[in-house]
Amino acid sequence: MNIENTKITLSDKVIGEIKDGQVKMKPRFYFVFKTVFFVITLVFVFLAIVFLVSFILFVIHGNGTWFLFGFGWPGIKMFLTSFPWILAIIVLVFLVFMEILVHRFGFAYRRPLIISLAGVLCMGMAAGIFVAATPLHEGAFQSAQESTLPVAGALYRNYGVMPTENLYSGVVSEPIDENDFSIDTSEEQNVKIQMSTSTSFGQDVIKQKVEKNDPVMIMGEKKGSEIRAFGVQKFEKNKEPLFQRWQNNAQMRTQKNKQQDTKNKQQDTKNTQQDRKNTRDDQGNKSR
Amino acid sequence: MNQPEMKNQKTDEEIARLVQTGNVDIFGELVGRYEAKLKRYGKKFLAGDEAAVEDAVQEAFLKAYQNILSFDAQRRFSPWLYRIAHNEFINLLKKKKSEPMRFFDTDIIFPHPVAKERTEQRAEERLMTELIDKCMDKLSVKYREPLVLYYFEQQSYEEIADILHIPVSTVGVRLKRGREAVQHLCNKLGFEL
Repeated sequence: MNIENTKITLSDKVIGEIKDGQVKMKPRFYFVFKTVFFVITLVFVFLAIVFLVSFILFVIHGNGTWFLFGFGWPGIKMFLTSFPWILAIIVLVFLVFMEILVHRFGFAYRRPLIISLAGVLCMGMAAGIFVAATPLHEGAFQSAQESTLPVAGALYRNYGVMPTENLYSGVVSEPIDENDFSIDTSEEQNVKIQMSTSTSFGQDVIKQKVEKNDPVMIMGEKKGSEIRAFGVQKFEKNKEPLFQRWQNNAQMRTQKNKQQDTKNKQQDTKNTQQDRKNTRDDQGNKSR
Repeated sequence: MNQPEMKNQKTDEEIARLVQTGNVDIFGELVGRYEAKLKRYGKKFLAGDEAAVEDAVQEAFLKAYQNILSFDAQRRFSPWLYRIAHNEFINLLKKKKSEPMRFFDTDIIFPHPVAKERTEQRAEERLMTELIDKCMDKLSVKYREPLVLYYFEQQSYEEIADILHIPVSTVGVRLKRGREAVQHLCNKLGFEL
């Protein structure tokens, strides 16, 4: 009897509050808006992960860090110190945020955290690798160098050309002999490479018959215009996108040098004309 | 057919759909169906403080009404309502601060093998229910809640997973560990299965 009374009372209380207008049903558009906002946030976070993953791949590929694995254990150690960890940590933060967002859905919370996190990570990585294979970042990088890329320009300029310490890339400028050869990098010409018996993969490179204009990557210590090589790697010409970057950089450098030369010549001509005029004026003054 | 008979024939989901279309009075039928269940869930989960539990249950029904348009009538109503009640009870626990609340548990990270619900399990359940009832208040919140939902509210593993927002395998792990803890506690207190 008592239980029955309590039951009726609660039901009456709830219905009473609803009918008095103290409690109102939230309109459907509130839930639609909430869902739309949620989906937009989810898409934004996913796109941010994809962008950052593909950008990291672009950076480590572009500055040669990616190829350090080919130099064995010293290369791996150098890879770990050269990797853009800040970007990787930002990706991790976005991944955690995305996991929190998808955890609202049954398909995510019904599974162990490690599985849904791995799912999010795999999707982000797969999409990032796909985007990295497109010319998107290379185009953006070129625009950033020409200062025509708004917002992300600084990011590309900072990371896109960030050199990796003790890692040099270029094309062979002088044919190889038993122990050394020269390369042209995007910054300098005729950098002498010294190899020894301890140089990793050095003998392999000699056996592969490195020829003029072959793209190579050197890990070693630079002193002046000489590099004592710890490791050498040869790439297949034109198949490596990095090679394209070196060529573009070299072309840009040549163009800039030419423009600078022209400017200098024009300035010299102006200066010479000014000097002559000044001399004539001085002579005129003296004769008066 | 009179009004109460018509109401009794309808499923929870059908009634919820009617509430969504603006039928306020029929919401009282849902309150009537779940009032005792939610109070029992609250009392066992929170281990006492009946007045606070009644307030929390009332608040849960009001929130259910406010958010009824977010309920998908293609799915089961019961876990949806229990989820709202769970959130209310958790808020109550946070206010009380007497129970240690963990926001993140390591047992939701890795997969665990799930023991399927067996037929013979149900035969042991009555005895286990009695034991749990006797030693419930000594258990930690983490194990108490799935035990209450499984043994007293007759919710399945999947439904408990939906109510607590944890993996189905974690429900299995917590029930197993909870049962072991109950047996250990009851042995200490002198009760036996």
